[in-house]
Amino acid sequence: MTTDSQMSKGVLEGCVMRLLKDDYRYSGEIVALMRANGFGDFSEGTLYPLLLRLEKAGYFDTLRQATNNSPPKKYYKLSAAGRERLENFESMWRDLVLSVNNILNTSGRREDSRTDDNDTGGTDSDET
Amino acid sequence: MKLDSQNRQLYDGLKGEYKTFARKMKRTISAKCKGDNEINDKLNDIFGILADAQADGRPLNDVFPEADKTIRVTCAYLPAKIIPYKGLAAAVLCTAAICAGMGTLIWHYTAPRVPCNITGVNYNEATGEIRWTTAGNEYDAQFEIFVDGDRQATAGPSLRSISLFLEEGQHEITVASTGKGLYSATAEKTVSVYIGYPRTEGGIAQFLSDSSGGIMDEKYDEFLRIEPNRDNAQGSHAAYKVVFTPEVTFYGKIQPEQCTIERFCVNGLPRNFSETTEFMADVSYEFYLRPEDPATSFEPVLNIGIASIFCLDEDDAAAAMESGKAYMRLFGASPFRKNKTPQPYSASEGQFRFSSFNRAELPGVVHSAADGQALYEYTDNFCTYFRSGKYEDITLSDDTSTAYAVYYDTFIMAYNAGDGANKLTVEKTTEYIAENSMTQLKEGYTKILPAGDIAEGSEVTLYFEDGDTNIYASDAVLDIRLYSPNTHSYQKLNTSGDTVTFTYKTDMELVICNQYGSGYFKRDFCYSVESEDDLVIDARQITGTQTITLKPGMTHVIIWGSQYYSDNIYLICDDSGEKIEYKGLERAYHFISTDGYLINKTDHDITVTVQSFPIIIEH
Repeated sequence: MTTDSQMSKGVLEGCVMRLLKDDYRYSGEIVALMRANGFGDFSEGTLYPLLLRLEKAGYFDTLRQATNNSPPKKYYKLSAAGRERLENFESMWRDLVLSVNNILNTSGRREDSRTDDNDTGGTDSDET
Repeated sequence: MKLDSQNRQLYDGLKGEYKTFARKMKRTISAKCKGDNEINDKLNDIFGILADAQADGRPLNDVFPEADKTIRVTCAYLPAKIIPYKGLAAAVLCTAAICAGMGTLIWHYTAPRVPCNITGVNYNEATGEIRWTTAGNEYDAQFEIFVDGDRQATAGPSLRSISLFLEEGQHEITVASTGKGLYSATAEKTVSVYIGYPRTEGGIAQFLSDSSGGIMDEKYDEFLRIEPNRDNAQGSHAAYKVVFTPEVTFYGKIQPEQCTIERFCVNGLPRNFSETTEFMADVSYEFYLRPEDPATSFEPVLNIGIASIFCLDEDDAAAAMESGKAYMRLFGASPFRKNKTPQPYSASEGQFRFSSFNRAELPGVVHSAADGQALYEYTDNFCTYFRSGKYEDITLSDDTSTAYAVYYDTFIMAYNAGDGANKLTVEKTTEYIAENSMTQLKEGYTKILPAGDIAEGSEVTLYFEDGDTNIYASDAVLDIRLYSPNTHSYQKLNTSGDTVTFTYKTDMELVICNQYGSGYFKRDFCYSVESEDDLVIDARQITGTQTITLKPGMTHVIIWGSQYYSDNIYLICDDSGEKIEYKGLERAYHFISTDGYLINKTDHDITVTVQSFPIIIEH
């Protein structure tokens, strides 16, 4: 899925924060999860600036840990401030989704209704 | 920047495009960022991602689609390094500044100094202005003006003149340029000027209106104006000059009353004195009065008072300037120690202060002088005639002694009825002994005696001081006796200024004796012999029997001091073979006059005996 950068900026941040809510994860793991959940073009080039910004803002607890003889990796997990920010994001997202869905759903029904009305009227005229 | 071991390991493991990206990242960050720990931390993140991607076989484009942006963002989160070209610019500027400073220093020590020449100095007497010119040196910006070595003013850059009134006389004016500048040299120019202000009149004495009506408080308010109206930029400036010449012998203090008087210069005295200044007799004085503010016009007023410092105590200052208290005070010599330099007003130099009669009743004065004597002629023709006292050094003692010197000051007043001849002379002699710098009046006497024809019926008013006791007058013929006011014997007058008035009659003899101390009559007796017809005998001077030969014309025999010997005085007149003894008499003259024992014979001797035997008057 190709995502508009302006639209996806806040959404990606919220999604990454959600992935780091309960577990320490490193960058490669985060990218893999994002891609597995539909963000196919999500890459380390997108993730890394996001991690830098949120880490500087104090939303992460980090640790560096080596695994399987590989070089140490930096793991991220939400801090208390990060959780609060995530809660705000989730609340706003639900409201936004509801509003967007309402609009999208209403507009769809009206389009369908209008199509139905045009079909019916034509029949009646012809019948008259 | 040096990679740490982990980053070095990761970096070395990268290959291909990953290696290229990692190198670019490393160089860029090393160039623009600082802080090895922070840089290694960030590079570790990036290198770790690259290593994982490389291991997974992903292309770099899949990991960092915008590689340069990733590098910029990473740098943005690291501390920035000072840009090298700014440091270079700073170094260039510093070098330039150092070179400039060295150049200035070299110039400072090698450049020639330019003198700030003062080309001319002038003084304008009319305007009181010192003016100078310069050579136009740009450093001629600050000047100092000295007069006779004393700095009088400082002038700024645009000034070439100042107002400064100088006293009459020779002065040296110096204008110095202080030369404010690196390469300037100070310079000064001195000129000598003589200031001789034009005088409208000669230096004559100005004894002007005596508004207060006496000599004790002369008010001089019309001065000889020697510099009428100096108009200059600062306004009107006037000076006055008052000259006292030796024609007037007075001794007093002069004090300016105007607070605006700036200078009060008296020749021979310190300049700029503002307090009381003492004048000496027979010395000329001249002084100038000028306002403190040249723009302020002023009317100078001087009060000159003649003080009586020859008072009986040392409180000379209190006596000074107390005009109106011009009672006839006893003279007092100013104390001084014999082995010290006498004060100028000491009696030894023949100068003394005096006070006269109550000036309120004796107004007007014209001063004149003759042979060291000051004659004050009053408009009512009562003359006071002063004569210097004499000084006798009778005691040659050291400083610890109680007596150093004795002064005999004589004060003579002459009464002039208007015809130019003295009619009555009041002579008062006082003896002073200076003891340990204290002047004490010991004893004295005053006698009043006719000095010529005094018209019968003339009134003579005398003023007495404390100590003028036992005042009496006698006339052997008319039996006029005058005692101290309201008394008949030796009570002391209590108040200065007590008066006694009597009508003088021809041939009356007046005697005033001073007595100090109860029951102690002074060293000498008071006597007066007005004609050869009188014989005055001081009984106290006689011990035993004394025979006095009567001279032709003697008509009276007056014996003084008899009161002390009233029980012991015997007067024997044996001209007629009759020997008369008088005893217990109060006054010898009384005895003589009232009992009619007029000795009116000549060529006879009188024997006076005092002690416990008769006084014998022999004819």
